[in-house]
Amino acid sequence: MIIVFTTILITGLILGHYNPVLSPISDVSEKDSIDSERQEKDIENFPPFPDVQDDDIENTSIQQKRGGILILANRGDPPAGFDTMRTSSIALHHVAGALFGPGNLVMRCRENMYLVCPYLARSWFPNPSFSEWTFILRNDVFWHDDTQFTPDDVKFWLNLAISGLNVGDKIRAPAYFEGDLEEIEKVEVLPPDQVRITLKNPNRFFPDILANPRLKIAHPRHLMEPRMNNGDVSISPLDIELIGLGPFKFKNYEPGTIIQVLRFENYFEKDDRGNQLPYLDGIDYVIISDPVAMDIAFRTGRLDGGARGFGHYLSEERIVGYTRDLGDDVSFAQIEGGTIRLAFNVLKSGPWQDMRIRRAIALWIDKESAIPAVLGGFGWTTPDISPNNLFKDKRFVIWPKFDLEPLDERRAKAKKLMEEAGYSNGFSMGHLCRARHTQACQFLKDQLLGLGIDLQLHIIDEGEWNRARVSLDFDTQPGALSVLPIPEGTEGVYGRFSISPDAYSKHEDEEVDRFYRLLRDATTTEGRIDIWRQLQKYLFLDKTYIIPIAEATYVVPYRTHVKGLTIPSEDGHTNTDFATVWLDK
Amino acid sequence: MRQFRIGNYLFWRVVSLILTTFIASVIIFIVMRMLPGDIVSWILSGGGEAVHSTEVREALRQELGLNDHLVVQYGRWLWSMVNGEFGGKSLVNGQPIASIVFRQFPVTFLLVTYAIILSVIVSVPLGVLAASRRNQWQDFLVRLITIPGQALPNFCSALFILLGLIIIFRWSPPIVYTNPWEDLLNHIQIILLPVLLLTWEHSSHIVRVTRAYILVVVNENYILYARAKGLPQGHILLRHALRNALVPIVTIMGLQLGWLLSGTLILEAIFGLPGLGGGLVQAALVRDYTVVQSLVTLLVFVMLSVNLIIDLIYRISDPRISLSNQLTHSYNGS
Repeated sequence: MIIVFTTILITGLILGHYNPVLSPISDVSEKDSIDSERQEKDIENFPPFPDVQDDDIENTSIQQKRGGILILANRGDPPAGFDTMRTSSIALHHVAGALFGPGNLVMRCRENMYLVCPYLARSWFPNPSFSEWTFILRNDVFWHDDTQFTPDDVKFWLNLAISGLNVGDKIRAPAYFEGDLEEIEKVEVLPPDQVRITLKNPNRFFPDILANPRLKIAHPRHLMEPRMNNGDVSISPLDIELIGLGPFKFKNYEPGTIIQVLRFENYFEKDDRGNQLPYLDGIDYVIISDPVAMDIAFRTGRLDGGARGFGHYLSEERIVGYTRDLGDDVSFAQIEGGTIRLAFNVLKSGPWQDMRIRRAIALWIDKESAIPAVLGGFGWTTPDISPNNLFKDKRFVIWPKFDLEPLDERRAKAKKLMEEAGYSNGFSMGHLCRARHTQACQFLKDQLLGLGIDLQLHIIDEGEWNRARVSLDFDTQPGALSVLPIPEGTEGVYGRFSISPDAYSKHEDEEVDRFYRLLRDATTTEGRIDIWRQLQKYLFLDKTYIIPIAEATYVVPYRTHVKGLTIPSEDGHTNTDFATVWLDK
Repeated sequence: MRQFRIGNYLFWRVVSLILTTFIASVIIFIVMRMLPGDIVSWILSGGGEAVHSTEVREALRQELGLNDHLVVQYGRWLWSMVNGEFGGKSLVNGQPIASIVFRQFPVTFLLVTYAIILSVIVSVPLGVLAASRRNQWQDFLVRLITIPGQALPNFCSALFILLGLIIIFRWSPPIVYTNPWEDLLNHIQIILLPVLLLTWEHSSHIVRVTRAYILVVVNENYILYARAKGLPQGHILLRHALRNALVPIVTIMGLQLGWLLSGTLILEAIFGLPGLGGGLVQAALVRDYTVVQSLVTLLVFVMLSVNLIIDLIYRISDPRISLSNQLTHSYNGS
């Protein structure tokens, strides 16, 4: 064995141009000078993912599309018994799209995720004051046990999500997204096929909120309600064998190993030519928690697609191995991802309570160098919400357009602000650092050293991260929560601490409330964009509660024989139903 | 009399085993509750990426029984351990822990068993060979093999081997684990490399220990006497030297079991084996209290049982060691 090992080792070293994932990240100093235009160009030049509308796809017959098993990696076992009310974990939602569908009554449109498309409802209309929304359901939707989907299912699902359940002394907690639906006052069934949702306050954008792909219906009333009434209030979709409404039905689940789904023959969606979806016979989700193991399996042809989720998204260095081994047989889908940021707890005493200090830090950080150093080469300097998003303030897309001066000048200004605030010799400041994101923490620590700030990294695991970030026990934190890609959906992460305890920055600034009120009252899209831009300027510049540094571009590998996949512009939870996917083998 | 002594010895050892397991379960319960972190927030935030309200968090905490007094929580868990539910359900995914153990234990058990069997087959003969050919090329070769086995972390050698396989053969092990009774060929392909790596690591220690003890024993007078009698060298080594060196070798093998189990944690993740090690690490990371408590208690029980078995093997391998002595020694804390 030692001879085999030594041979392999030596050969590996001889062929040493391979740069394994464990190697240090690229030399930041060499890449520091990358300018914003270069970053834009890099992204533009990146091989595009095959579009669903390609001619060859259009000309492919249904016979060619039909069949085959798609093999995808999945980041881990779906937690919480596959319960979409319990968790937004991508390990669940990468699978849940196929089982439960890409949406609920509505969904994000496949071609443009910023628009709302019908899903289980064929149409909807509000009352004149936008306080009541009526949804008319399709009549050809069936659960995987062939039971008809009805308005009662919608009422049961919404009530369970909003209020949870009490049976005797047993309690079932509401859905984690209950806050998104808290405006719902009541849900009424209007036989035979309508559901009317009454809101506490008028909301013109209620379908946008409902179109969140995390809000999947995975709770068939006819199977769950009787068991819940008998006291089994914590019943999960896994307990009823994952009976859903999605394009694929459950076949097999071996925890830690594989999840298998098969085509649901009674699925209602059809393609543009009237052919029934999905095309595939099934999907195998192989559970691979280790990204290196995923790389190895993919590069040796055992996978058709990679996992979604931080850590499994590819870096520049890993892509080199993929393209060398697979050449044109692999393509890389890009999804705008999470943002690296520095958020202050201004409710805790410290130098960072002084706005000049926060501003100095914002000016000092060389945000562009975060892209090679932290994001594996894929990303751009931007505060929030994808560049493709209607609401994106283009001034923010490349950060220097916001702070236009060269880095040297910005840093001189930062030093001056520090001096004015009485901290010319710097100070020490804590930072909550998730153990899985230490590169970003180290980047911040290195950056702030030049300003005289000793950033004390408190490296914590996921269990502690989920407690500490909601507390006031920290000085600064990175923030890592996904929100709805609409301005109104960001209050949970930018709002006041009393209203939004999970917000990145802990503050009690009532001016932020005012902006969100204005947003909710806005009657036109232009008005919303304008208010959103003002709010961003207030949060990121005027008050600098949060310093957005760079936004990641997540890269997911797929074999080129995987066709018909619609990659969302942002948010890896979107388009995980794979109903339109087929294999060109 | 002899049977009574063995029965007496076993009785007290089993009592001690149960008591130690109980104390370990209390300690792990307390340690898990003292750790910073919140399982409820982990579940609701989907791995730290979704906003949720304080009210929902409190409601789920109540649903999971985490608002109950700690004594109540421990009592509930302990009762579920003895009533056949084996710890109740996972807080994260609601699966019965018995089913988790039933699923994960065989994977780790097979992995460790293969490694132990291979280690014994390989390491004892190699140790004897190295000792009998001291400072000759055979000895140097054995040292060349075993020193990296002791020094290299197994995740490092695992990655080197996997990457080497890609570069040279464009091949990697299968990604979906199957039990040997389901698909033997697939099972062998997926488990071969981790077994070889564990064996290499485990047997390297045993080879070194075997070599060292044989070298000590061969200088004893009774070996000299055996040589003087004209007994063949092989006979002397196997019947006299090896047998007398077996007690420390068996001890090391027993002690190494803990290392072996910890070695499986990383290898299971890298090779996609759904075993106990990976399951335990994942459960600890997300503070799945009931799963961690149950699995650690199981591991403590297994380790103590193995130690008991090793003590019994002492008796077989060296009749001079009496059970009453062992019992006395254990009570004296030695």
